[in-house]
Parts: sequence; structure tokens; C-alpha cells
Amino acid sequence: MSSTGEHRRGVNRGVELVLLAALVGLMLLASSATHEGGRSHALAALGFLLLAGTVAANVLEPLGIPHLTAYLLTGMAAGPYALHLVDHQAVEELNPINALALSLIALAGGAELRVSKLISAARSLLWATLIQNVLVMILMAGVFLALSPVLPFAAPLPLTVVLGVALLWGVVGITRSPSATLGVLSQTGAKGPLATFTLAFVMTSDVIVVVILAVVFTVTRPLLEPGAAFSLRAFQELGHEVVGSIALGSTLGLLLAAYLRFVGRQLVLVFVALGLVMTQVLDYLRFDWLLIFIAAGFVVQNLSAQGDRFLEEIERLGEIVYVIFFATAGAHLDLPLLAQLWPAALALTLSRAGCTWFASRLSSRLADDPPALRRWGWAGLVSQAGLALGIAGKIQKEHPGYGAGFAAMAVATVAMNELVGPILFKTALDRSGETASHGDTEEPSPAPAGDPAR
Amino acid sequence: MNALWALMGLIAAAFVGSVLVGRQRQTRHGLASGSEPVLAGFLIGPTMLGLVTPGLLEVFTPLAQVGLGWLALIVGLDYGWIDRRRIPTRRTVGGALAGLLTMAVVTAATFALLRRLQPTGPVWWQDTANWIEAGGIGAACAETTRHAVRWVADRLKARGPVTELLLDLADADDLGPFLACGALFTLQPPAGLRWAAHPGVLWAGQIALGVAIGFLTALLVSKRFRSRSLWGVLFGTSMVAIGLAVRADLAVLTVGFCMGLGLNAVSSHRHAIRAVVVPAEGPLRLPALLLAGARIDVAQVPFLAWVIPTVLGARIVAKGLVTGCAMLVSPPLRRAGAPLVPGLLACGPNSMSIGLAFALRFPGRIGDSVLVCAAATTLLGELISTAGLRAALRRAGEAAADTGSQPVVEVTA
Repeated sequence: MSSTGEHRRGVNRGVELVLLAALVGLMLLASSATHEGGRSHALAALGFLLLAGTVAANVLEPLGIPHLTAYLLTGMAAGPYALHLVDHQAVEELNPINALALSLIALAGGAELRVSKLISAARSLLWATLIQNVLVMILMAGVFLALSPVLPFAAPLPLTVVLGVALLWGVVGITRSPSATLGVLSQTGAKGPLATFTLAFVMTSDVIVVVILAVVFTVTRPLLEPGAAFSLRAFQELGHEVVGSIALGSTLGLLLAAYLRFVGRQLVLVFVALGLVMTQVLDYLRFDWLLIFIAAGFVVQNLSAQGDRFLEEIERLGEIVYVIFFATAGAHLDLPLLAQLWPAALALTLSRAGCTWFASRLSSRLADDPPALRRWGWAGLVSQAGLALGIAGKIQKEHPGYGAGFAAMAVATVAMNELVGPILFKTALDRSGETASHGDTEEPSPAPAGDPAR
Repeated sequence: MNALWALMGLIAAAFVGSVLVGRQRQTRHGLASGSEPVLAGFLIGPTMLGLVTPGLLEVFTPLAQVGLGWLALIVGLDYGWIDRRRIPTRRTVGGALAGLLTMAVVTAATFALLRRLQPTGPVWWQDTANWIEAGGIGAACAETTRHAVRWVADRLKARGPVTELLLDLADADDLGPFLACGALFTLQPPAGLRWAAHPGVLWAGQIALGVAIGFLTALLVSKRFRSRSLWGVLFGTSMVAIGLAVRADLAVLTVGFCMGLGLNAVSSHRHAIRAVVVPAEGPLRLPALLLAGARIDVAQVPFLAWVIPTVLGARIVAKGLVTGCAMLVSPPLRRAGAPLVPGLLACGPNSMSIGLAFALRFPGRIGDSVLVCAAATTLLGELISTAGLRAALRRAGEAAADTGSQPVVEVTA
């Protein structure tokens, strides 16, 4: 890379930093000049998060910080707990946009899963699925049990309840973040065994965690609610949710493939309709729309000839989608809570990373994985996001007594994993040589459409 | 109808809009002004079928604001250009003056009428409410829509100095109304602002905000020019501009238009940006016009039987004056003759956008009056302007053929 090019990029980053400062100044001026709680602030907040996240990612790139982490940091800095450029009301009002972003991420995730790649990595995936889910869940439950005397919400609980809560914490511990995985892969353009394995594992584990959660809910109910009988009702709900969602997703996938084949225009509007309207309808019908979109993407990719084009269209929106999703997630992070709970949260976070590393080494040995996967297979599994928070929210709703403390701790640990996970994964991809080599890191050319490792 | 169905309806409208206004080849259907959605909106709105309730319309206010802001941004970005041809400065100034003259005549006539109908009010120079109402009606009735001029020119395959001049004037007359909206919005102190400021300062502030964000966009785009990041940057900056205007109760149309002007003035990538942004006009215009149509409520407009004829009469007089002045300075126009007057009465999306912006900012009498007058002017233009334009272009000897109802035209991005 020539020194002239480096100099030019340095100057460009300097200019962008000045523009970012100007934007922050403008928002601060607007905050002081306008009334709070009056007109909606969501539109300006949306634009600011998008711009500031994009610029911050570019400015922080030389430090090796992944774009996702930069988006999160932007959201945290701009959010209601720091600069207050984006207030609570605006964060709440941006929820539909988040649903839209997440639905696109799910569609992209499903479409990145190619049967041929899954088959080639089947052995690794099977061992990892077994060990990363079952062993890590048990280990994390053990860690929780060991730490329970120092956890404020768990200390006063009787042992049987703590045991049940520990198992639920184990389930939270095995959730991963498809959005973070896809975001890092989209930025790095990585391809290779590590990228393929991580993507396939993270996407499939989303479904498996939902099943495990239903099992654990059923098993722990008698422990958590003295007098409650063992009931298989959770499995009935699970059947409705999982089987129904996969069936609906397959149908949607076929419809999307037909639309691409016979109409093929204005896909952005179709995505908007899916993300804004269909998510609401499916939520109301109690289907898992994330699973539906993953299944739909998978069907378009593997049962039609439209997969590449489909991915290309979603990728076109990627730059907007990831920034909004992660910057809003950053603004959502409860920083005072994190400051309050950080010692226990740090212990749980480090334990989880350790358990994930150990399980990865073990499953890699059993599956006879390639060296890159043996060494770095764990790094892509640290990120956590929405699913963990969703499970914590569900537990809070069903067990209001200790649920609030449980959810707060989950938020704190997810925040840490959310910040550190993408950095670890990007480092792993860089070190294992799977990151695409760009001539100009500021202006990466889009990876070929349909590249499964994007 | 619940919010989800209504949202689906708007998305469907956007889809239809994108189909009707394609980037490559297309067959032009429908009305010359492109205002069919206004009628559709009026039919499903609270006044007629009641499928869309007033409460539901409130839910979509942010969407309407975004649509208005983006439409104004596109108009600003396109200002002074017809496809890749720059409009000569003389014509730009002439077009802008034509818009201002029309606006002034309609405003004056409406204000005089309102004062006469409500004689017990403050002294005339302090009668803010009537100034806002009359000014809003003037701004909404100022334009000659380029859509209608292009529609007729395409059908007649008209080429020549008169056609070109009409297209240029129709493009350039948008300046006055879009800037006037900002001024009128500041006459009533914006509720969203914590600081009191002179209306002149607020007006200048809106223009400065729009232009500054346009410059910021140009700088960001120049540093990272790729079609993918272009969308992100444009979307982000436009949301900041629109969002700040909404937050402070300022005119989204003025801020968006000035942002487009700023970007248009300084970006070396302006043609590429236009190629990306202008195709979004169709998908945005239809839902925005649909919402505008649904908001029309004639029952809320006092003295309707007086106001509408006065406004339409004043507009006809104003366009007559514009035609006379234009003929004085441009000899080729003299060949087109008197039919130019009804020809210049064409108006549509910009008028309805201004009407909708006033209805959102001044709910009640003022907003409803401006919106109803915008709709009435659009309807009048639709009825007589195409015949006028056809006759004018034929008389000027620039109509190659009358190709019937559905010619195929090329629209260059």
C-alpha cells in the first residue's frame, strides 16, 4: 500500500471526523433548541445513528475495530445514558425499523446457508451442536450455581429454585448472535472453513436453542414453582411455533422465489412489507418470524435458482440495515445497569467465553477439524444479542420475583458479549487468513453475489 | 381499516408508483398531472367512504413527513436541470419570478377575500392567521407542473424552443413556493422550539439548515462514492434534515428542497446522485398524494363557495400575466398564443405536497383550506391545461404528431 494512499485515507478520515463532530454539534444544538417529549425525535435519531455509525466505523477501522462494534459504540455514546442525542422515546419508536432490519438479517442468514456447504461441514456441525449446546449449557448452569451466593437476585432463593434458575441461565449462555456473525462476515468478505462453520452453526443453533428452551422450561417448572405439575404444554406450543414457522417460512420462500422469477422488481418494497407488516401479523399469530425468515431465505437459496440475486438485493440494503440495527442496540444498552452489575457480569461473561473455548477445542478434536477451526472456532460464538434478551424477557415475564434481576444480569452480560464478540470474530478471521483482501479497505468492492461466506 | 392494512395499502401504492414511473422505457398512463392518487385518497378518506379514519391518518404523519421531505429533496436536486441539460440562468430566474408572481396574485386576492368575509379581526398587517392561509393557498397554487408539460410534449412528440421553454419555466417556478412555505410556517411560533426567534431568523435558519446538510451530504458522498454507501449517506442525511424540521415544527418542504439545492450546487457526483434518487419519486409520490387526498375535508373549509372561485380566478389572472410577460421577453412564445394561459394552469404533486404540509402543520381551518384549494386547482388544471398545452404547441408548430392515448416514451434518468 503506497504512502500516498495511506496519507489520502488519513486525510479522508480526518475530514469525516470533522463532519461527525459537526453532526454531533448540530444534534446537540437541536436538543437544546427543541422541547423534549413533544414531536417525535425518531426521524432525526434514525438519520443521526445511520450517519454517525457509518462515519465512526470508517474512522475506527485503522484500530482494527469491526464496524459492528463501532455502530454499537456510536449508539451507546448517542443514547439516552450518555450524550442524550437519542432519547428513550426515539429508541422505542425505532423498534419497527429494528424489526425490519432483523427480518432482512434473518432472510440473508437463511440464504447464506447452502446445502452443499452444510453437508461438507456436517461432521463439525454435528459435534459442535452437541457439545456447544449441551456441555456449555451445563457448564454455565454450574458457574451460575457457584456464583449464586454473590448474585443479589439469586442469593435469597432456596436451592431448588436456584438450580432451576441456573439451568435457565445455561440456556441464555448458549444463545449466539446471527446478526453479529453476518455483520462481521459482510464487512470482512471472509471465506473459508471458519467463516462457513461459524455461519452455519450460529444460524442452526438459533432453532436448537428454542427447542432446548422449551425442554428446560418444562423440566424446571416444578423446581421454580413449588406445587406446579410436570406439563408437556411447552412442547405443544413449541410444535406450533417451530413446525408452523418452518412450514410458513418454506411457503414464503417459494413465494419469494416465484416473485423474483416472474416479477423481480422493487424488492425493497417487498422487504419493507415483510419487515414492517408481516412481522406484526406473525407476532400476533404467535409464530417465530425470525425462524420463518431464516427458513424462507434457505428455501430461496436451495430450492430455486434465485438465491444469488436474492442475496444481492439484500446486500444492497446491508450497509443501512446493520448500522441501524446495531446503533439502535447500542442506544438501548442500559449503561447505568452495566456499571452497577459489571463485576458479576464480567465473571459470567469470562466463564462463558472459557466454556465456549473449551467446548470448541473438544468438538474440533472429535470432528477432526482443520487447524483454523480448531484454533479459532470459538471466537465467532461469543457474540450475543436479541435471542438472549428475548429469553431473559420471557423469564422475567413468567417469574416476576427474581425475573427482573435475572433479566438485568442478562442485559449486562449480553452487552459485554455484544461489544467483545465481533472484535474476537474479526480477529479470528484476520488471523486465520480468511478475510478477503481488499485493495482499499475504505472502499471495499462488494463480494460476489451469493458468496456463502460473506 | 387498521394501521397494518393501511400500511400495506401505502406500500402497494408505492409499488404501483414505481411501476408507473420506471427508469427505462415506460408507457404513460393516467392523468397529465399524475394526481390520480389524490382522487383515490379522497374516495377512501373520512369525507367519502371512511375506510381511513382521521386517527389512522395521524399514525401515518411521520411517513407523510418523510415522503414530503424526500419529494422536496428530489425537486431541489433536480432544480435547474432537465435530465442532463442545465436550464439557462435567465430562464431559471424567469421561471422563479413567474412562480412568485402567481403566488403573490393568488395570495393577495385570497387575503382580500378573507378580510372581507371576516371583517372583525386585527389590522391587516397583523392578521397572521389570514396571511398564513392566503399565503399557503398562494404557494400551493403557484406552480405549473413539469409532469403535465412533459406529458403533453411526449404525446405530441413536440420538440422546439417553445416546448423547451415551457419545460424550463415549469421546472424553475418551484423555487418561490418551496421557500415561501418556510416563511409562512414561522409566522405562527413553532411549538417545538424552546427559543423564541424572529420569523425572519427562523426562515433563514431553515434555509441554512437544508443547505448545510446538503453540503455535508456532498462532502460525505465525495469521500466514499459508491452506489451502496450513497444510499446510506443520502438516507441518513435526509432523515436528519427531515427529523430536525419535524422536531422543531419547521417546514419539511423548505428544508428538504434547500438540502437538494445545496447538494445540487456543490456535488461533483450530482448526476449519479440524481440517477439514484429521482427514480424514488414515483414510489414516494403515490403514497404521499394518497395521504393528501385522504385528508381533504371540504366540510372544514369556511366560505368554500367564495374561496374556491376567487382562488381559481386569481390563478387564471396570474397565469395570464405570466404568459403576457413571457411573451414580451421571449418572441418564440408569441407563436403559441392565448392557449398558453390555460396550458400554464397545470399543477399537481408539488401543489398537493404543499397542501399536505400545511394540513399537517396547521390542522383545522388553515390546513384544510390550503389542501382543498390545492386539490381544486389541480382539478381545474387537469380539466383544461392539457387542451391548452396541446393547442399552444400545435400553434407554435412544434407538435410532430398526436399519437393517441398511450405513447411509448423514453425517460432518461
